[in-house]
Order: sequence, then C-alpha cells, then structure tokens
Amino acid sequence: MSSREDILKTLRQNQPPAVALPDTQPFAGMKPVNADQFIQTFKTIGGALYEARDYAHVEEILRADFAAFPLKRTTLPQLSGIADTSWFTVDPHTLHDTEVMIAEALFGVCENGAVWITEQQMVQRAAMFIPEHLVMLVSKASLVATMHDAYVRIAELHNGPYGFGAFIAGPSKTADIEQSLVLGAHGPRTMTMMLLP
Amino acid sequence: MKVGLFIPCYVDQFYPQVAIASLQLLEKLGCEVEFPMKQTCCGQPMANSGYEHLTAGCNDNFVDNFAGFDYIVCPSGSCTLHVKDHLHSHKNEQAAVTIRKRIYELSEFLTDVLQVKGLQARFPHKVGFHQSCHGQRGLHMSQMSELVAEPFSKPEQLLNQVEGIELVALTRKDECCGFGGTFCVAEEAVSAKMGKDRVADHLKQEVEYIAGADMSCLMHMEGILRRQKSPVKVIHIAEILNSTLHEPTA
Amino acid sequence: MNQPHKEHAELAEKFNADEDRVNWHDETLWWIRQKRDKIVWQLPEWEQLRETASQIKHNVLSHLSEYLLEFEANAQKNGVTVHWAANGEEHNKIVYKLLKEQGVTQMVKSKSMLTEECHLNEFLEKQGIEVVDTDLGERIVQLAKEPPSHIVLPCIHWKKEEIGELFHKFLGTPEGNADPQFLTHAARLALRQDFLTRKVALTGVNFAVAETGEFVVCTNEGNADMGAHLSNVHIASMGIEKLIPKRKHLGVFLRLLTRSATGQPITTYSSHFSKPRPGQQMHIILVDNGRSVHLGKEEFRNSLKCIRCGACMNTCPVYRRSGGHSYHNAVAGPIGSILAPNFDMRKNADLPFASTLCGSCSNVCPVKIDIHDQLYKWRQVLAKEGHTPKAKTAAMKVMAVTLSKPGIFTVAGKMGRIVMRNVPGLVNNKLNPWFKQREMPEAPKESFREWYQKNRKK
Repeated sequence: MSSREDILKTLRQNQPPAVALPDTQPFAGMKPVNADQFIQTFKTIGGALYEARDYAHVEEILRADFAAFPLKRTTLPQLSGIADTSWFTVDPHTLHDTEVMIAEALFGVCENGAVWITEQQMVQRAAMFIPEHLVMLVSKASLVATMHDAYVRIAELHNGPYGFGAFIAGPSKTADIEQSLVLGAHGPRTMTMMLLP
Repeated sequence: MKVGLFIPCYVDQFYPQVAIASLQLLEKLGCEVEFPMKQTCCGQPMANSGYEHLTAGCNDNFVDNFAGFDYIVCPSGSCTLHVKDHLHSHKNEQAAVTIRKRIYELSEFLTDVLQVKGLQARFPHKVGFHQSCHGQRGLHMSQMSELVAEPFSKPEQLLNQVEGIELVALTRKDECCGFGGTFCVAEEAVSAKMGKDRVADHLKQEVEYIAGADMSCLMHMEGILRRQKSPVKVIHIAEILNSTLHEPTA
Repeated sequence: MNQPHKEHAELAEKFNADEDRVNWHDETLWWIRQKRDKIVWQLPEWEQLRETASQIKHNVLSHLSEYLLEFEANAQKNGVTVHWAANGEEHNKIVYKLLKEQGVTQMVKSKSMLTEECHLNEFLEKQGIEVVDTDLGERIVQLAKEPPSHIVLPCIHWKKEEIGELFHKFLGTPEGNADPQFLTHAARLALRQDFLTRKVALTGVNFAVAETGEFVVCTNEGNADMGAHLSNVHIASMGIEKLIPKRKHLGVFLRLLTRSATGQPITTYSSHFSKPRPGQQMHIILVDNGRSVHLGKEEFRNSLKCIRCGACMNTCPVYRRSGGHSYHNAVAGPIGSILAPNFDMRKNADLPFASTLCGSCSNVCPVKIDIHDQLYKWRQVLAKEGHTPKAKTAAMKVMAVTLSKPGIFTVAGKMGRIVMRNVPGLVNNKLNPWFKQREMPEAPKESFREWYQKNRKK
C-alpha cells in the first residue's frame, strides 16, 4: 500500500465523530471601517504613509522624497514618467538592483495595516520582495475593517484561484537578535503607503 | 450548616495555626464545623506524579470521612481542585460525586456560599497576595491575566474587608511560584529559581507579609525567605481573616 | 532510566548555573507575553475568536482524511504536485529526489519546524546537499550547529555579543560589533547571494486550505517569498494537521496567530500560494510522521490543533527559566512536552513532568488546547507504562498505603515531625533537593489533629 493509502486509512480509523463547523459569519461586519486606524497601525508597524490626491500627486511625492534612488520600477503605466515599466517579462533575478518598486494594492485592512495584492497587480511575484524600498498605492475607499471582512472582499474580487496573493504589512523586519526590532530583513527595508481617496 | 473541615496533610503537620484559623473563622461565621479525625490526604501528590491509579484507597478513605456533610471546606485551592476533578470511589461513587460538588476552597466558600460582607478583622500590615495557580486557574478564584475578561478576585474581595491592611500590586500578578508538588524536588533548580523570582517581586514592593490561599506555595516561598534571612513572613489568608480573634494559635 | 540523552531537570539545572542569563532569558520572553497581552486586549471578541478557532480545528480533526483529499484534488488542479510521506524519512527522501532531479546540491529553506522534526538538514548534509536556513534566527543557530530553542524565536537564547562573534567568524563582520541593526544587515547581504543563486527553495506551511488547494506562509523577514519566487522549484512541507476547511477561516487564524506569537497585529507577509508561477514547479509534501496515530488518542488529539505560535512557551515560567534546549525535542515548552511523547514515549518521558501544571499555557493558547490537562494525563500514561523511575514508583506505593490507612498516616506524620525537631540533620542535608536553596518548614510541637483532639473533642 502507498503511504497515501496508509495515512488515509489510519486517519479514517482514528478520526473522532464528525463535529460541525462553527459559524464565522458574525465576525464579518462586526466593526466599522476606520481609516485613521489604518493610518496609525501602518505607521506603528514601521511604515511611512502619505495621503495623496491622485497619481500626479504620487509622482510629485516620489520625485521629492525618493530622488536619491534613481532605479525605480513600477507596475503602473500611469507612473511610467518616473519609473521603468520595461521589466515585466525579465528574469526576476535581474530585479535585484531595484531601488524602489511602486505598485497598487487591491485593498487595505484597518485592524493591521496590511494591504492585499495578487500576482496580477504584482506583475512578477518577486517584485514585491526584492527591492530595497516598496511604495504601495491603495485607495481609502477600498479599506475593510478586519481580516474577516478582508476574506469577504477577496471572495468578491476573485472568482477562482489567484495564483499568488499576499497581505503585506510594512517593511520586512526581524527581532531575532535579542528582540531588537530591525527593519529590513530580506525584503524591502522601507514601505511607503500612498493612500489615495 | 454542617461543614466538614478538610485540612491538607502538610498543613496538619507543619502549619496547625492555619487549620486553627480556618476552623475558628468558620465557627465565628456561624458554621457547625467538624474535623473528621480519620482524614489523610486528597491524593494529589501521587496523582500529579502520574500515579492516580494508586489513589483508590486514599480516595475511599476521603469519601468515608467526608460523605454526609452539607459542605466540605479546605484552606487550599490546590487540594480542593484535585478533589473536585479527580475524586472517585468504586465503593461509593455517588458519595464521591456529591463531595466533588460540595467541596469549596475556604475563601470561595466565604464569598460564594456564606456571602460574607463586613468581616470584623484587622491586620495593619503591608501585604502581597500570591495567587496560587490551582485556585486561580483551576477553581477560578480570581480572573486570569491571560484572558480578555473582566477582572475579579475572591480573596481580594475578602482582604479588602480587613481593616488596616495595605495590599500591594505585583509586577507579575499571577505567575507561578514554582512549588508544583514533586516538581519542587524533581526540578529543584527551576523550582527554586521560580520561587526566588516570585519572592523578589513581593520584596520589591516592600511587603511585610506574603499572603496566599495555598500553604504549599507559601511553604516554598517561606523556605526561600528564611534561607535569605529575610524578615518577611508568609501568612495564610485564613490567619488574616481571623486576625481579630485573640485565641492563641498554636 | 537508561536514556540516550540528559533529562530536562539536569539540562535545566545546567542552564540555571548562570543566573543572570536566566533572568535575561526570562525577561525577554516575558516582554513578548506582555506585548501579546496588550494587543489581545484590543479585541473584545478575543475569547470568542479562540473558541471559534478551536471549533474549526475540531471539525478539521474529525474530517481530516476528507479535507486532505479535497486539498489534494484542488492543489493538483492548480498545477501543484502533491506528495505523501508516512514519516520523516520518507519526507526527506522526497526532498532529496526533487533536488537530484534538478541536479543541484544546494537549497535555501525558510522556517519549518516540520523539517526540524524530520531532521531534514542532517539527512541532506549526509547526501552532500548544502542547506541554507534563511530565517535570521535559524541561520544563527545553524551556523552555531545547534537546533532552534524556540519555534518562533529560534535563537532567543543567544546574546547579541555572541552573535557578533559568530558572524565575525562566519561572515567576516568586524570583531566586537554586536549591533543588531548592523548584524542583521550583514546577514541580509550574505543571504541575498544565496537567494539569487539557489534553484530550489523549501518553505514551511502555516495553513493549507482544503476548499482552494492554496497554502499560506507567514514571515516577517520575507525570506520564504525571496526563496520561493526566485526558485525553479518550490517545495512546501506540511504536517497533515495544518489544513483548514475554507479560505474564509484564514480570517480567524491570521488574526490569532501573530497576536499570540509576537504581539503584532499580523506578520509582514502572509503569502497565499495557489499556483506555481509560469515555468516553475511547486510541490507540497503532506507529512504524517505519527499524526494519524496520535489522532486516535482521544485524550491527546487536541494537541494536533496547534498552529505553532509559541505563546505557551513565552508564558511558561518553566520554559523561561530552563531554555528551549532543555526539552531535547524539535518543539520545546509546554506544547512540545505533550507532542513529544507521541513520537517516543521512553525518550520523552521526562517532559510532561517539566511543568508545575500552573495552567497559563492553556489560557494563552489561541486554539484552546488543554495543554496542562494533557500534561497531567501524560503523567498517568507514563507511570502506568513504566516510564517513570523505579524508586519513585516504590515510594508512591508506600504513600498509597499510608494515605489509605489513617492510623499509619498519623504515626508517620508524628514521627516525621519528631525527626525534624530533634535530628534536623537527617532532612537538612545535601541529599535533600529542597534544602539546597530553601529552608525546611519548622516542625511545630503538635499537629492540628492533636490540637483539635484537645480543644474540640473534650
């Protein structure tokens, strides 16, 4: 017998009597959307945040605050004036020299400052993790209150599997050395949120 | 109200003053108290060591001694919890079930059954209260710091009725002292370190007494205090609550 | 007991030889417990969440075979290859086979307690494969040739000065530099080269969703993603108990996991892997390694609900003062002590006794595993099956007789007090572990029983 059959057989013998799933519905919609909470939480987890009016304003902020990093790449054609968009089909290893990556998330979560983004918006999966600095656009109107609401939104947004998706909450970090928080572990060293209307 | 007084074996032998205070306190509050002379122990030392299967004789003896009382009261949360969770009897399971339902730790008996308000007690000292784990987390004598739930404390509810007492706030309000039954010798190093740390928290608050509802934890901390030649004393809550009575306590 | 390794008490005593270090270890972990408390108090529905998570996991355990098949079918539909491993050895062989197929001798790996449990690194090293652990804490203990001492904080027992020395030796950082920021950056630069050059990446799995065939990996460092997205082959190893029924249940578990683990609202990355990227291979290895048998033990099956947050370790007063290595098992602390005897009862017979049964672990557990009750139950099993010391069994038999016979009990108690009052040296000596750091209680002249006889039985 294969291990698969073996394992399944033992499981069937040993499974306890069926227990019904609890209702998780009441958790969704339990709390109101609170943009201030999103802003505060994102800052607490090590992020920087700007409230931007539109793409032009984003571009203006990037020109001013990210001038020191010439090698910018973006997934957004609207920002091709300030960042490279010719990388979409390159070998992801070559993205290693990216100083700033600019992308747009589908929605944000107020309770933890995370944003949800899938492969489609990432263009390349590695693009969200390999740059030194990550800039993420998300609209205020997209915010949901909690993770329960987030999965309701995901169900609405994606009909079927999404290949790859991630909640990203701030710059990569570690506290493995004596619990001292260090921003910039293996992923981006900073994350800047551009909160659009 | 007929109350059977269950005194843990080590309290009987080493801390008779705690048993006397418990007895006098209950009598003062109008209970008809009897100490069944043939009681021995709840069997916890064996059970916590993995030998619950050897406790049948001890359990039968417990049932023989305590069947028929309206309530069984014990000045130890740990022993009470053990009886509540594990007392069985092949000879008389019905009596064991009844005892499990009727046994109370002393301070919860005072707050929940007698509903004592306005105790006539006086203890003008600075006191740190040690929450013993089995009473707290097992019997729910007070809220546990791990849970997102309304705080309460039955022992403190009683101590707050005592005149002159000053209760201090501890840095870690419900950390285990490290006694743990046979753990205290089997894991001597960790047990002693836990005890030292618990004592240090109380000493930092400059207490005169470390009080508690379980003499086993207090015995452990007393051992450490005395080794450190500290003037700080341990005291059982029954002694504080009974402190207006002037009868000599052993 | 004739055991191949030292027992918890002995290892803990060794750890306690340096009291300052114990204090530091205790305070560091207690600080994490406090961070956890602070953040969970921000959710009034916290206890309801824990209960819900526990019930979902209960449902999972009662349908595990069905969910595994559902997961397998959906993962395959997504283009993922699913492997089944009965034990650690089979798991390791599957990994090795995949590496050989690629013709590579190197691999990056992000945190996976399962591979620790399977001793994957040791196995692959013997086959000439170099594994680089990419989680910073895991990399540190790997360089030091040690196992992790904590499932979430692998090098929580290391001081920054020691890490500075280690990095000086292995990464060439300047001698004497112990700045966490500097050391982390040095590791980032070194490991970046590994990410860019390795063709195969192995990650753990935090949750796998039966409904969709996707799996979720949570990290703060981004190392799982760096490995996976730059590899040609992504291998994800998971214990079969990591399944959850539906994607929406992630809402419950992701809220609980990091709040319990580190006091953060969520990890930096919660990555949902569903399909390989074009041109990439994705493999999932479903590992049993005793879990299906464990499921049949009614009293102990709840421990399979564990989501590996480590909260029980952070709160455990014994763990904080004995260190993870004293548990001589991949998973240390209270949860490790109830999981380990399932694998090897004889080898791990000491662990359920490495606890005061204070119960704090059960209270912080986000899936409400009755950890301290299971510790108690394991003690009963171990004693009955003869895995406790013979001298202890003999002493317990004497105690059983004494406590059932009030006459003997009274005499024995009295004798004890007489000895303590008159020949204190018999108990106050080096052979009595109590006396090492504590005074014995003073024996009073009369017991309560004697007082009662005189004062109430007139």
